[in-house]
Amino acid sequence: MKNVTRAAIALLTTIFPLVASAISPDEMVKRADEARMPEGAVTFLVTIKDFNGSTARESRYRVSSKGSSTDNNSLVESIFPDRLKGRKLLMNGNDLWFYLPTVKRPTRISFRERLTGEVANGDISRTNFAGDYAAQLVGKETFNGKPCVKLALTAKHKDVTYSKIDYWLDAKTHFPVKSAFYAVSGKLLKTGEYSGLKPVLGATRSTVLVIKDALQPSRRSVLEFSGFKRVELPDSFFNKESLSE
Amino acid sequence: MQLIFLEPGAAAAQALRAPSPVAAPRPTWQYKLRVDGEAGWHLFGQQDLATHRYSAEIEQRMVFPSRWSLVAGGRASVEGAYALNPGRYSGAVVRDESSEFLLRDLYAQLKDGPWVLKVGNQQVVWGETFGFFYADIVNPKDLRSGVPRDLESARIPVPMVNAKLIGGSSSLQLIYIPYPLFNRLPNQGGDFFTAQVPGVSLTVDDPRKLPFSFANWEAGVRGTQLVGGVDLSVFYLRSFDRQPNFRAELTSLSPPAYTLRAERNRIQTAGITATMEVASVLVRLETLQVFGRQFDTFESGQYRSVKSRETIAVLEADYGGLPNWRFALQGSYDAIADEIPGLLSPRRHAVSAQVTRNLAREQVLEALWALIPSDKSSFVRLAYVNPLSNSLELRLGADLFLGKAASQYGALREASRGSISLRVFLGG
Repeated sequence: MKNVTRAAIALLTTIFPLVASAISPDEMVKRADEARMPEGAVTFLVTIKDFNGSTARESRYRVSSKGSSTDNNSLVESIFPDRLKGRKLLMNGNDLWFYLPTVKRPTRISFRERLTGEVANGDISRTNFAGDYAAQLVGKETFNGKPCVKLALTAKHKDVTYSKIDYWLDAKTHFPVKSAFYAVSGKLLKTGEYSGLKPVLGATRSTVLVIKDALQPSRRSVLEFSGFKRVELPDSFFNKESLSE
Repeated sequence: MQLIFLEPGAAAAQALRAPSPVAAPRPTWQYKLRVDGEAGWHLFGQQDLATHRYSAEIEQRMVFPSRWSLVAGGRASVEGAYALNPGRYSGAVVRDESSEFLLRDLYAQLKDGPWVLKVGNQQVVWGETFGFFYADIVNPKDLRSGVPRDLESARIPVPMVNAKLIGGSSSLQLIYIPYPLFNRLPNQGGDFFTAQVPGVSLTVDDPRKLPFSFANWEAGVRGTQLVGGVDLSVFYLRSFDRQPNFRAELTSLSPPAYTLRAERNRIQTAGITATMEVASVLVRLETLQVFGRQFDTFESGQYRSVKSRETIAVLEADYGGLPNWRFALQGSYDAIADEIPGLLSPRRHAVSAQVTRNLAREQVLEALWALIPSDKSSFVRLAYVNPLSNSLELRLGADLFLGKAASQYGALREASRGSISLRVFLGG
């Protein structure tokens, strides 16, 4: 009986990693997306601390998001500081609008235009990599003592924030660990590190993202995600015509 | 919002607990307060005080637990430069522009599913391009201070009924204005009044209102649709022209004196706007047809108004692909369909470019250059904005009007100014 048990344990420990590694790279990215953001309609808060050397600035946003692995709509509303209050950023599919209270009308902008500090519009409004990038497994590396799989993500279409991303995921859980974001020219723009694993809406998710400028490492932004709530958001909520209402 | 992390088991336990008494939801209040202090000096000619202005603008929003909300706003301002400089500014400017309290937005809003209904004093903004009011035709504008810095603050809210049906990628809007309001034009003797003829005494009679009558209604409709990345809108507005036509009456032969009496004429405006992203360049388009607009002409000593159709087209390209830079280039064309003898410029073109540079610590540099090729006059606006704290913003700016004295912008050369302002933002 002992031998049978040993054989079963040996079989399971051999097969389990094989099963785990049998997951396709695209499926790994989908799991990592879920560890960053719950699917469906949610609202949450994002606090961004921008550091430039020793100086720091803080901004806060309320985000309403309705997403799946193939489609993602979100509305980002500035709530702090007071001088930026009322500014809104709307993403509907691949299209992006900016609303300024001093203009009182939505203005369409491109994904690459910045929101604040090291954070681009797409970093907050579009967190779904599985829908936008094709993944390829390129190797295994250890990051901060943690075994990781390294994926190369290539943009499926032009309406994305970055043309290429190197993505390190926890080899066991496929939670996101680190990312490197590249421009079309192949130049490294910035890196991201994911941490702050917490239970959020019934699953463990990463709630902290640190984005660093590739050329000036003293410039970094720390994004903290909190206050997640499931809500009902009709499609009309993500129409630019709702921004002024 | 509070951090709420519930494990699945905790959620079930919470659901099984006896319900506790729940307090009735209360309305929530939000307010925004902005206080501005600005000083400016003329840069050309007599280099004296151009503005010394303090203003406070508040907007209060009360959101009820039902689908209703109420919005009320007002602006109070005092301007000291005009009274301090009676040699430069007329009594009309001192009386009309030294202090005022303006009711801004004041409306009730009902949101029910895809429907939004707003009733009261409000702003409706159509159009896509930057800097100028081409398709922004619903609300009249306050043009007493020249080219407005904030388009919102120059817009005059109008009492109206505004109904919107909003879908996922389309919308339909209907507006009804029972009592029209009109542009506030620069006062005679002010920096931006350009109709003065040397040696002729002019009196402008512009009451900016019509007698209250149900016949004076205005109405408009606008539909929007997002199709394959192209954001389209089509609109129609039946209204009175926001700009008046003037009828000249000779009131004295020697010395020559005229009274210009404002007349209001009905127009109909139909238009299309579109935006699309093409290879990191955002393309914006606005085109309008204005039917029945009256044009004032002066021919063979006769002052008269002639009706014609006007076509306006604006094309803009914005590029934001470089980190911290934004570039915009805009060209506009304005043509009158019929030949009108005596009309100075039946076809007008304008070109403008805008560059925005984001600097460290959220500082922003902006430069706008607008050129009228036909008379080679131009307008240059430079601005530097530095957020000193979470609630305080410093702004340094310059508005330069360049060109010959008879040109469109050159006529305003003496109004060119440099300014410094502090803006305080509060909210809760």
